[in-house]
Amino acid sequence: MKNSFISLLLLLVSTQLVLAQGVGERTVSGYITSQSSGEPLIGANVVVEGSTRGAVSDINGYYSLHVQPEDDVIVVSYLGFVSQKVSIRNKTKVDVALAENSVTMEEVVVVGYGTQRKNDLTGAISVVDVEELNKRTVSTVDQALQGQVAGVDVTSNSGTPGGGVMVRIRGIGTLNDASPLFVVDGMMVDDIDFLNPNDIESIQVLKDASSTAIYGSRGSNGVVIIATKKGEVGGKVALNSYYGIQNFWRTTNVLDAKTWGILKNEAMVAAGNFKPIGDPAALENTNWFDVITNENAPISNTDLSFSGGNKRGNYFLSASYLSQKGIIKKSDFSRAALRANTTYNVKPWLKVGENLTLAKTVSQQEPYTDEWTSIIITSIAADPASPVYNPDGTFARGIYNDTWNPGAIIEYQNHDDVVYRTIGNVFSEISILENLTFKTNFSMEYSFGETDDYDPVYYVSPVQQNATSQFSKNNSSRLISQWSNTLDYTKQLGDHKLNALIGVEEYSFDYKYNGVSVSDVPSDDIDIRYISNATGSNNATAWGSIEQSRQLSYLGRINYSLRDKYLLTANFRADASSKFSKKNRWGYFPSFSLGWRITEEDFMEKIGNVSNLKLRFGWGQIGNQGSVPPYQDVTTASPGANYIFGGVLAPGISFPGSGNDEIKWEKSVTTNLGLDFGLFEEKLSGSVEYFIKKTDGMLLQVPVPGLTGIQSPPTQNAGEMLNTGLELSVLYRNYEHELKYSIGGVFSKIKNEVVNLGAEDAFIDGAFFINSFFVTRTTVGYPIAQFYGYKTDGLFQNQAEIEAQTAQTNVAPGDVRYVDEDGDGQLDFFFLGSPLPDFTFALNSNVRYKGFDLSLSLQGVYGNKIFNGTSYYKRSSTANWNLGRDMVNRWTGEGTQNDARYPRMNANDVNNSQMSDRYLEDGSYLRIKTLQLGYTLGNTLTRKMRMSQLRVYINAQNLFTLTKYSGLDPEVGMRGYDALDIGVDRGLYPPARVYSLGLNATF
Amino acid sequence: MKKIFYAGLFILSGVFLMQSCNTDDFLNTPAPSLTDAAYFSNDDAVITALAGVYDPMGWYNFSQLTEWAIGDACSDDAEKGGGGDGDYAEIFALTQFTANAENPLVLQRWNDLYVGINRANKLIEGLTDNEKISSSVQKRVMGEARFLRAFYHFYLVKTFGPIPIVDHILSPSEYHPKRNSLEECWAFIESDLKAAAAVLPKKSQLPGTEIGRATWGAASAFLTKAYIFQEKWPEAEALAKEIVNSGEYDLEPNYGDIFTMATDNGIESVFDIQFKDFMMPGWLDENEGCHLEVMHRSRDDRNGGWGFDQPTQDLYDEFEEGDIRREWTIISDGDTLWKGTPDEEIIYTAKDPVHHPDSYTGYHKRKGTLPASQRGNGEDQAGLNLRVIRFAEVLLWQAEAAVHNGSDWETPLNRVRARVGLGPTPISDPLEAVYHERRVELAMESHRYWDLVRTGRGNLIPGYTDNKRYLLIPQVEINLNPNLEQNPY
Repeated sequence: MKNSFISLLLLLVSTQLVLAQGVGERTVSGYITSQSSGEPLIGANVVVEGSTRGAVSDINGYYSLHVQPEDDVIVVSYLGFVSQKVSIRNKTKVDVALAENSVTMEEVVVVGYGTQRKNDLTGAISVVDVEELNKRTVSTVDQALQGQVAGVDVTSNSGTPGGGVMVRIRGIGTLNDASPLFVVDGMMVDDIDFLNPNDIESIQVLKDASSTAIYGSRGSNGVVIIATKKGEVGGKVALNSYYGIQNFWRTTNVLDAKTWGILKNEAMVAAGNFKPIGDPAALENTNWFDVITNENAPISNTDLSFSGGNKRGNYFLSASYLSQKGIIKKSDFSRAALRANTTYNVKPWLKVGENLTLAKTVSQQEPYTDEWTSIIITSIAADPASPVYNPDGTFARGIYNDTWNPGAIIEYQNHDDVVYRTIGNVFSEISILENLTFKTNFSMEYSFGETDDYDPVYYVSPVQQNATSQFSKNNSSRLISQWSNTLDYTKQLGDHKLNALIGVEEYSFDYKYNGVSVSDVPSDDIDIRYISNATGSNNATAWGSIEQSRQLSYLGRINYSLRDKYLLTANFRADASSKFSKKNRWGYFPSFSLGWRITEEDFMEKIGNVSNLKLRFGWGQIGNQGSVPPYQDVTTASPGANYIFGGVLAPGISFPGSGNDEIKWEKSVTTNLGLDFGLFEEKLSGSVEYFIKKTDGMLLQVPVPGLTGIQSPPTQNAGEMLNTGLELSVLYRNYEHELKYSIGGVFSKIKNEVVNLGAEDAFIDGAFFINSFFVTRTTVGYPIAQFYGYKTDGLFQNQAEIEAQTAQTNVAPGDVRYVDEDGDGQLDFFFLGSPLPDFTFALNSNVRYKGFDLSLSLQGVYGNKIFNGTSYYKRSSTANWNLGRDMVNRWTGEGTQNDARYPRMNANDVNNSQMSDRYLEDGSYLRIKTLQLGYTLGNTLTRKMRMSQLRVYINAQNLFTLTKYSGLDPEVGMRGYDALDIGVDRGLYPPARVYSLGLNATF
Repeated sequence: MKKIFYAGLFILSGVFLMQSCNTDDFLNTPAPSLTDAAYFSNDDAVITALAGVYDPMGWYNFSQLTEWAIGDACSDDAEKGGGGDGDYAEIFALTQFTANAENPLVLQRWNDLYVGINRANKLIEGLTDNEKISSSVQKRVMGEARFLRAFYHFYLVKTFGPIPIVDHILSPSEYHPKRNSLEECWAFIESDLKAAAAVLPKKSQLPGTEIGRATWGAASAFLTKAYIFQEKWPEAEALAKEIVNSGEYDLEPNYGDIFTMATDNGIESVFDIQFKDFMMPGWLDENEGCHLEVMHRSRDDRNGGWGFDQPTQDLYDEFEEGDIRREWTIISDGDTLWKGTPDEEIIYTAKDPVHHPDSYTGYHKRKGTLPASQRGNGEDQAGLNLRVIRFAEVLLWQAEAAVHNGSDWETPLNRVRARVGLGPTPISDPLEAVYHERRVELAMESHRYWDLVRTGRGNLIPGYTDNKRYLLIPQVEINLNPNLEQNPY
């Protein structure tokens, strides 16, 4: 790997040398500074007028440019400053001081199928600070989106390296897949795991219907548009690298063997048993958490890029390698990625280009994530008085319970994933007329994944053993192709500015998978772990199938502005999807938005200090077809319903579902009101958004009565969901003095309500736990997936209290008392809280002084509850498993304790372990997400090293978390893709605390 | 300039044209599996669908869990057992008669049985007037499908009382039926079983490859059982007699052999649910093995089972002195099983702080406990069939009906006793004699609870009152179908 990496770098370097060669008669150089502050301007563009030859100023504002004899004038430009033309005739040294532009308004934002001036935007679109993004030591870009944009909530589903996150834009819009659409260089992709964060030029988040409607049926959960880097005039080599170590920031906090032994005895005696442990003080302690922990797990990333260009074309080439080990043993992730982006101006009217990525990700993940066997759960539940190993070195069986030996789980698990991905697009732009451009963009993604699972022969205990080795291999491949063609027309007539776009797009998705499982692999040696070597291969089982979908779309957009003051955007898209039957195939998605730039009005001139004020209103209707699995319109046969005839396996089929060819598009209507403001020459800027989003005809497997015998209810357009929300983002920056600083915050508050579930009184229970109870209930009038169960009312203190009620039988003093509100002698169920936060917020700030820079980002959520599944074990009255340290506070007699979390010990308990608010905890947290201190080396030193910039930094991620939650981490996302299984901690792999050291160098 | 313009227009129109034509072809992605409309096209496909109708009988929650949980553990024969009251607390609640309508095991039982009914109806609809299916397969499989439909309805009625009959695939407008009357339910079950008995082959006529499929005897025996539950004594006695006289069945010579794999589908088996260890990957219902073995084996860590369904002292005492059925039903502490074989094992059943802290009654169940070499691949794949109706029960039905009819009850009863070397019953009251014999002969085979409640002797069960006879209909089912009336409980 290392060798091929180096040769690749060499190849890239040589390419760059060839492309960057220029012939220069002389050199012009100098410093570019700000007229007002005298500070150097970093990254200012210096271009020879009438050419595309140019240079970019470095950290000291220094530039150096090769010029031809005939070159007269250079143009110096910098964002937020007035561009300046300077004569270079007979000069070799030209310093330029630029005047600040009062309003930085020329920023361009990538929108669907095009770009727009930020000025002209009328939809709710947020731009992500890519620099901030790159300060996160995470393996995937979506993880780094956390806390960057108001209205975008990112929650880790698992902290395992490469683990998934739940990204929700403006709340949960549907019970179906509510993940946003990712568009990378114009291509719709399902995830962005393949992206190297340093390859990203810009990320914009399209939040409201008027901006996502151009993506029609794919846009209802929001769109994240990512553009990768393009080369710039001149040449640049950039090297970024970091190395870090990761650790748990909290432990499982369980009892030591001696204390547990006392409680165990107490529980057994309470149940009328003998004391199983003669002398608890003599027990040897095993710290199972240490057994599974991988201390100081390393994470590192290196990427090298070459970019450059001239008037004919530009290129951006990069190679990167990320490697992350998990904080739990045998989990890791690595990604090697290459990128080549080029554009070339073939003719004055023809531009062509491509973006291409190759990525390979390799990961190992904990195979078990359920509440019985997840590695964290077993490390909590395993009794602390049992050793890890037997004297003979084999793994020991638990003495006091049959929890799997966590050390053995790690030792014997083998779950390896490899994914190869190629994603690329080729595009051309033809200027047909001065104002009319035709663009065609053809994209393809091919990915191939292999998952290997190997179960060796082992014996730890009767419940943790495997008598026959099993090896299974699963291959899947995915081919997505997309062809988009658009025609873009721009016209300015006096005060009227018009831009119109029409387009057509084809999208096809083909997925197939094949797997085989064999038994009796002759040795555990990984080198011979192949299907053909299995001696039990005649008992092989195999599986495989495909999934396909197609989409055909027509789209159109008009942007109109009058005197740059009154703005209008209207979108229309028509989508046809193969997922619906012929009669319901087409969906039509209109939207519009209006903007009023109040600052352009005459009356605003009198109001000082207001540099920008824009009011926006938008409305749109969009679809969500990501929510529809294909083939819902027919009833299909499903294998596996086997029985036995004549002592031989009789393969059987059944029809578990019931097709519904009436289903049509799930649609959501969003109304958005927004205000952008800028004060004190844009020192203070921000926006406020209010939205109402209603999803209608939500595709639901509406629960049908069990007596229908339908195992998988038919999908119907039945549900309605309402989200209303407020988003706020504010940024204050002051770059006027030597101490430059910025401080920004985002805040969002979303209210979710299920309005309809198809039938009166219908509810859907979710998050089945311990084969015993459902944790959440979704019902009309409440937000989605509310925690549902008994409400506790302290502990029974004495027999009299027990006799005073009739709802609970088989209880004794010290047991949990539940509420029977109506006094009918039956315990009542209550809605106990929500896994959804009241609001989420983040704060990002940067300070720069001379060469030093310091950035801090905080992020948090408030008001959500977490179902702490680990408490099922840690606060169990039975002491069957190890207990939390706080269980020393258990009830031991009248008046000793009245907190329902700490009932008496009783090995025969059935009362205290029912679904109740005992297991619910406040999930609010405030976290120092990143703290980074950097130093940029001085001018002279850098130049001596033949570099244009060198910055070194130290970084801490997840440095500190303020939370009342007692589990390993309050970030508890979603399980699988099940929207009803949110906020349930089943011994989740927590995010790590990371300390790292890194450098950014450009040449 | 003009050139470019034309070139542009040309490309553009070409592109638009290409993308627009053949829209339907492009958007047509057929499902990668067989649809129901195309499925029933030949005899083999029908047999495959038939296996799917039998399949739910072997499901974990139905036949491996709730059958004994209600049939044994809710009666005076057994306690739930396992690892403390909290181990399957849902079963504990049932045994204490404090279960609520949210009990997930009861919900699963309701759902699973209706899945079986749905599958039978789907098969019946696929067969009806289908010219692609040979008439012999059509007739025979129709009989089996109706047997199975009756089977699943029977278990529902026994558990929940009068329930909605589902005799065809329901359309959405029919999703909210009311409960039928108990009479209607029994009439429906009877008519399906009669239709099945009329066309199904006798067990002796089955080729080896069809063993396990429903027979005339199975349908007749279930019909007898339906008569017994309805107290239609003359019909019950007549039909039981017919089965006895058919010569299709006999008692195993040795009582102890009944619960061994050697007698699966043997001479005494009228209807078995089939289990076999095919070394399949997958857990629970993903394989064809059975959990009952590990579930009932002693929880003592030297024996390694889960220790559920522990026989009570009351049951132990019910056996006459010298009745060998006691030792074949109940394991006492320190009993050595499979003596003289390599599987010889001492079974511990007494409470022991280290090895067996959770012994409730001091006994474990022997029926279905298998020697180590036969326990199958993994805990959930034991290959012993579940005896649902065995010939001894048919004899006892004959005896019970005969008592009510005033005819000869002693012959069938004493035949059952003679097999275990016992003489004529010493109990003088005929009904008491039958009740005693049923209890000991069929002990721990999940019959006791239903026997007690159908004969009005529920008062023998601590905590039972008459309103507890039928379990609560699952709340979610009532919420989804407001036409369903709840049982008193």
